[in-house]
Formats: sequence, C-alpha cells, structure tokens
Amino acid sequence: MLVLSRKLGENIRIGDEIKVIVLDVRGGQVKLGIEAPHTVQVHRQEIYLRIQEANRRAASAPPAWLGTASQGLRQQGLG
Amino acid sequence: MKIHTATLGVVEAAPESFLTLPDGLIGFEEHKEFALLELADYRPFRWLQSFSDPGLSFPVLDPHAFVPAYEPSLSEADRAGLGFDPGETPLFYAIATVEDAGKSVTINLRAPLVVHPTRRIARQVVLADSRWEIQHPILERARRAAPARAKASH
Repeated sequence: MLVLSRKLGENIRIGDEIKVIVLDVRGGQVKLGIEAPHTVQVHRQEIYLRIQEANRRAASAPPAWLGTASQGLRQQGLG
Repeated sequence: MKIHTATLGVVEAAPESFLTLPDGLIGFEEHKEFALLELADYRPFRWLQSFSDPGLSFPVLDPHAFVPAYEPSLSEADRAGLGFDPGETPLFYAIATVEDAGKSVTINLRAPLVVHPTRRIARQVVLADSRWEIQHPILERARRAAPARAKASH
C-alpha cells in the first residue's frame, strides 16, 4: 500500500481525473473532498459493504418465498 | 424475446423491459444487461433478471407504494451519469430482500435503482441522505414468537 502524508489543504492526484483534498482534520476525523468523473463511483466503505450484502441477500431469495411475500403484501393492500 | 431464468423458467421479455446497467449492481458489477419482468403471480414484485446469468435475478418494488414520503434526491452527477435532461423524471425501484420463508420483506431505500425511462439505462445510486435505510421493513411477521426461555429453569 502506498502511504502518503498530507497537510490540511493539500491533495492527492490519482490518474488524470481524480483529486482527493484534505479539507479538515479534527479530533481523529479527517474530512476529504473528492473530485472524480461521474463514471467513478465513490462510497464510504461500510455503506458499500452493507449494500453489497443487501444485494447478495436479495438475489438469493427462492421464488417460493417471493410468492408468499407477494401474497402477504397483497393481503395488506400494499400490492 | 424469450429469456432463460433459473427461478422462473423461460419467460417472454419485451424489448421495452430491457435495461442496461453500465456499472452493474454493487457487488455484481460484471452483469450489465437485464430485463425488468412483471409476472402476475408475483405482483407487486418485479424481477430484475440478468441476461448473462439465468441464475441471477433481483426482486424489486415501487418504493412509493410503501413509503409515500420517499423523496430521493439525486446529485447533478447522478443525473448526468444517467443522461437526464432538465425536467426529465427518473423512475425509482427499491431492491427487495425477502427472508423468513417470505414472511419478512425489506427494501433498500438508500441505494435505489434509478432508471431513465426512455433511454432504458439504470444505475444503483447510493443516496447521500442517511435517513433512507438499506433495510427498510415493509412486511414483518405479524407476531414474533416469544423467546423460548423457561423462567423455571433458573
């Protein structure tokens, strides 16, 4: 892993199009500004992992469960 | 066009149901071509079915049917990424997680599938607003079984 030290207001370039700026450092927390093309997805790691896990679980539901769930939703007038 | 699915068998998919996800879904980036299928037996669910993998599909729901106050706010970058012109309205779908043999359902409001209705391009967008939950419950077991703990045994 590349390790770089940066001061407040300094930045890091990743390739031609991505810039990461140190905006604030306070009490063990670093605020970063990220400039990247909109084709590059930028996420907080923990959010990314939770969404990945939710997607995995969504993809693994057997059709029979979907059938039961769709009946349940229709019975509640939600369908 | 007929497409093969592991879960639903062979189903007919109209070209209007095709969706391209240039980035795939989070954790499933390699799958980019899908059909959004509606099957009467599974209403109100729709199936986001991969073309490249018959075994890969995601149940999705219209989030507004369950959370009328849902107002996802897209950034300009998100809108530009999907090719929206000013005034064009995106369609939102929430990916649904069905568990407990179908007795519990949650929907992902934090990272909806955002669809450009005419270009048929979609992206899973992670909203900045943490008010929207990744697992928002819409169907729960009517009554949770009481914990099977015998007081007398202590």
